Amino acid sequence: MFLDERISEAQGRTFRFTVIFAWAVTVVYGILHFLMLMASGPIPLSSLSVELICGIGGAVIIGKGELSRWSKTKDEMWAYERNKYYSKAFYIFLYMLLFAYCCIRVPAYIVLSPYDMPPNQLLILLELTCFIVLITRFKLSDVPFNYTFISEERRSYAKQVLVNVGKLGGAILLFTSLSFVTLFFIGGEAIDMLSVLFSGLFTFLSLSGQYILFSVAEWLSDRAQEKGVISVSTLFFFFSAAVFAVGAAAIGLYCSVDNGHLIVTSAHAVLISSLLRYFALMETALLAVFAAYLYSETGRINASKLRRSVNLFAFATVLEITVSEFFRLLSSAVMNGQNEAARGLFTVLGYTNQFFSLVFTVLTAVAVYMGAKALSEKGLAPKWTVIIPILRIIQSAGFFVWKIVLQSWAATIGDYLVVFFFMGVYTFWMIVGAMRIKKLAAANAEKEESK
Amino acid sequence: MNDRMRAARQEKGLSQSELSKLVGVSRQTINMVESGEYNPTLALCIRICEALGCTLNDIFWYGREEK
Repeated sequence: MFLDERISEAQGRTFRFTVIFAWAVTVVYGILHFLMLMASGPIPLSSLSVELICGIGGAVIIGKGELSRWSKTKDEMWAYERNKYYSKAFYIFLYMLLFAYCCIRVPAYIVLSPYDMPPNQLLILLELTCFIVLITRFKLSDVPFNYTFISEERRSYAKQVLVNVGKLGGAILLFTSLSFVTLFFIGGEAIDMLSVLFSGLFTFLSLSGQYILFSVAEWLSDRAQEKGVISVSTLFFFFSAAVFAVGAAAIGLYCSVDNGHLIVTSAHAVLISSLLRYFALMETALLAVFAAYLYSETGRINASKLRRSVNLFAFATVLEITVSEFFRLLSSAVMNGQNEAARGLFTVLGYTNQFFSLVFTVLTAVAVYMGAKALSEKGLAPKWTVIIPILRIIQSAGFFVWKIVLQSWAATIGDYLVVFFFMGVYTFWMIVGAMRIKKLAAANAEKEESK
Repeated sequence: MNDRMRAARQEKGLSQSELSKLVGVSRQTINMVESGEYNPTLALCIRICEALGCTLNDIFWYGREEK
């Protein structure tokens, strides 16, 4: 029977942090959503159902977790009992969120209040940020994904993964059915119910695809970690991030060179803006996953410095995603004001958002600098690679000064070309790093044998 | 570092992965116990000793000179 106390403790700590983080994001999101709705007229309670249920429910869960006396003194037993509590509380919070979303928010949005923003914005924000938080903290605690059966042979592992996919399908079927039943009772039309079914099917395909992808990556990473080399999956995450970064740069470059001729209607502008935003989010998330996997496979080599680097990178990434979403909500709330003062405030918010983007770019570049220095100290990366993040900061600061302060659009093309350059240099750095880690692992293995 | 645990494991011809399966924990946990990065509870120490056929004194007791 699998009973790993170390993993149970790490899981409890990580789930505690994630529940508190998710609750805080939900509450702030709820306040901004309320401001947005207030500006456009009467507020249907169903529009804020997810934020209200999770805000109140989350406060009760966290209150019990933090204020209960888990033992007579604050010792190891206290920590153990609290971790055990949060290991269950995490799932209660998750089911509460999904119940509110599927049974109230979505049916109400379809039938009662179509003038609100799409109901899945909060869910996507929480999914992306909590995913980065969970994967970073688990990797830094040396807890593998699918830990109960990760050491199984390939066939047995694949079978267990498919069993879990089945369980996931069952859970999605349950929540889709609840949504379906609610729609039926509040007078939803046949087309609405069909759209819910298709959404459920699409969600299952998307989530199970992601789960299978990560299960494969984790199996390869676990074997590579044992040998002390960088796995194919870590390189895959990096190159995927590079593809999204270069893709976004290519779209932006084409629009700049074309002088905006590609954007012939406002619908095109919305589509291109959404595409660029999606590409940027995917690039950021994949880089955070890559950093977590890289630590997991090389962390033994310079643990404390690499840990600080990965923590800072994940922190900056999560903050960037959350703050940019909050700015978007605030901008929507302000624009609903429909007057000169609102337009002025909207412009100020836009510049403030750009400034914060620069701050986060600096933070992630500092994190990359720390990581590059930690790896180069142990001969795992060429020494000159520490210059790359510094150049990235100069490039972002230069972009900010040109575009925002001096209002010059001429730098836009140069900015995108620089992104191509950096991605090329990062890719070269990764290949060199992977080869060096392989050599170091072989040298270490020889040393152990000669002992 | 718990060299005695590593030595006992190697004497039995077990890899970290094989020992982890016998004890019912992850390979990473065995690695961290051997490298001194994780302090196991008494229950886990007993399970490790049972898997290696040793006593607690053999693997986890440190005399004053070793401290």
